[in-house]
Amino acid sequence: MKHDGIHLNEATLQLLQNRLSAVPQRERQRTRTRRLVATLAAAIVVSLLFWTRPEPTSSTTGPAEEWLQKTTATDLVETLEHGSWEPNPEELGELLSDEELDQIILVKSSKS
Amino acid sequence: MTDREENEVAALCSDRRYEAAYALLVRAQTPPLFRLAVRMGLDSDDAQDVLQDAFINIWRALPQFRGDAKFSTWTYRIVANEALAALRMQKKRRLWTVRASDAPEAAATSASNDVYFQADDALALLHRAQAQLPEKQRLVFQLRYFDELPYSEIAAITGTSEGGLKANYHHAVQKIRALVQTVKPNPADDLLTAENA
Repeated sequence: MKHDGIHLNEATLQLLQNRLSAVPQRERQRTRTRRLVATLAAAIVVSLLFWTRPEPTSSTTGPAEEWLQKTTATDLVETLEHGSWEPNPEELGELLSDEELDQIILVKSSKS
Repeated sequence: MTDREENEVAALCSDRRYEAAYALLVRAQTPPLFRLAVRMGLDSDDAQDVLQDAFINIWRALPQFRGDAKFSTWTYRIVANEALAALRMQKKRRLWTVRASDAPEAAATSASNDVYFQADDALALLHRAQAQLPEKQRLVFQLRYFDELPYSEIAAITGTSEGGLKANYHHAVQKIRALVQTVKPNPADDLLTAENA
């Protein structure tokens, strides 16, 4: 190497070497911080997805579930044992009379 | 960087002791790399920043280093690239503040208190002339003339063919000779004659 007349300040060079020697430690800290931030961000995203998830749409079993929740166990047993098994003509429809039944049977046999 | 240090770094890397290898690189390479950055026209602060960025890259890439070149060549290459990028940034910034034609002069007078120049008139003139070269020619001239590296190593640092380098160096010498002769007819000839042969 030729003499080029340029002199570097020894103190500056020493400080620079110290700064450069600290690079691996700083890089490791940076990696740790980056990993921590990524983990936190992922956790926040998961929480947001959980809290903002769509509510389940009301299904046909909705009123039944509501009724079950409101009804105590004793009431439920009583209901099952008594009232609910009595046929309600309005719910089941009118029962056919004997004449009407005969007519249906007659139509069926004439077709066959 | 001596051959012994090269071998030591290689051995540490093969043992995956990258931190020790890195520490050895910092110890051996900081002075020549800092000088290179300064002589390419950066002031002390910018040269330190360039070295900081370069050594971050060196640390990150050290486990992947395949040993295609010497460690010293590899670090020279990284610093040269960082320095060229910094000089380009400076040039862009300077476009907004002073005329572009002032840039070489600014580079020639960039040494701050941390870096001082102590040489005879001929060498001072040579430095001023070198500062007027385009960045790549300045780098090639620096590596060949002052650092006395072989063309094969300069080719690995600059990523240019040896033929191209020789032409580049020849042009650089011609330009410097012309620039110096406009100021002083004789002294730089003495400095450059042997090198140009």
